[in-house]
Amino acid sequence: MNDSQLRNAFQQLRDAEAASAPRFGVARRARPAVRRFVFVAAAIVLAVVLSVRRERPVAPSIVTWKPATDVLLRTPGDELLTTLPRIPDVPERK
Amino acid sequence: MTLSYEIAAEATDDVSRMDRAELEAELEWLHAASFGWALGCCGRNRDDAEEVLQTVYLKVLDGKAKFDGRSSLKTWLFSVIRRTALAHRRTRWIRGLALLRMPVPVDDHDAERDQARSEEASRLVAALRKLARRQREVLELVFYHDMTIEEAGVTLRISVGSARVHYTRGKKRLEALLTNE
Repeated sequence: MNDSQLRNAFQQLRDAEAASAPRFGVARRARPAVRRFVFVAAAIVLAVVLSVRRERPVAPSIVTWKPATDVLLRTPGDELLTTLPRIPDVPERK
Repeated sequence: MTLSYEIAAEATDDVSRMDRAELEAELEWLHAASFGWALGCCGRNRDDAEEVLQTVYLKVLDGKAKFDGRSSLKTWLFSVIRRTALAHRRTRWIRGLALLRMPVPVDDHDAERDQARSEEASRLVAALRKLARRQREVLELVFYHDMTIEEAGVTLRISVGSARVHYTRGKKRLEALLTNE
């Protein structure tokens, strides 16, 4: 195949594609598809982060916190260690 | 007013300072050729070519792509179309990955469209698909768009020596493909 045959084949392709070319016009898009995709993805991530933060229980203050196993620390006779015995009144000697 | 896209490389500052109306007129003049080049850059996928061309027109008219007059308007515009088509292909691939979908190779064979072309043109398209990308681009610019090899090199941003190598090898391969069919 020589150059002129090659050029002829390309010309036929060019003519066919030129005939089917869309009309010239510049259409303004509201928002490019990629930017819309990023916006939606960011909105979803934000919604997930906010919902996780809302569901997390607030940690109790260490001062007021009472562990459930505290009951095991109570032993019989505990009150002897936490209270002072009352010495009964000694009657006055006459 | 004479509209000619063959603005010489020694363009004056007046060309690079074209106003929007003039620029739009020049784009319209080059529209059929630009569409043909966009088709070549998009694997002859018509939808992609139209989207790429719209993106390019907006870029040019909004001033995001500025013609500096260092080459002809046509070679500059074709260079912008090519870069935009490559970016479009990358974006589509990344978007497919992000949505956890493997990008499916697009079957560009449109039976109806193929019928509209002559048999010779259809054989040519099938053979062009088998060439390396640079070779196909140089041959399309030279034979389809009547550019010189030097202008093809400017459009593709490669040296004229590289453009000649791609041209020689591509032409040899294309002739072999078309002869052996």
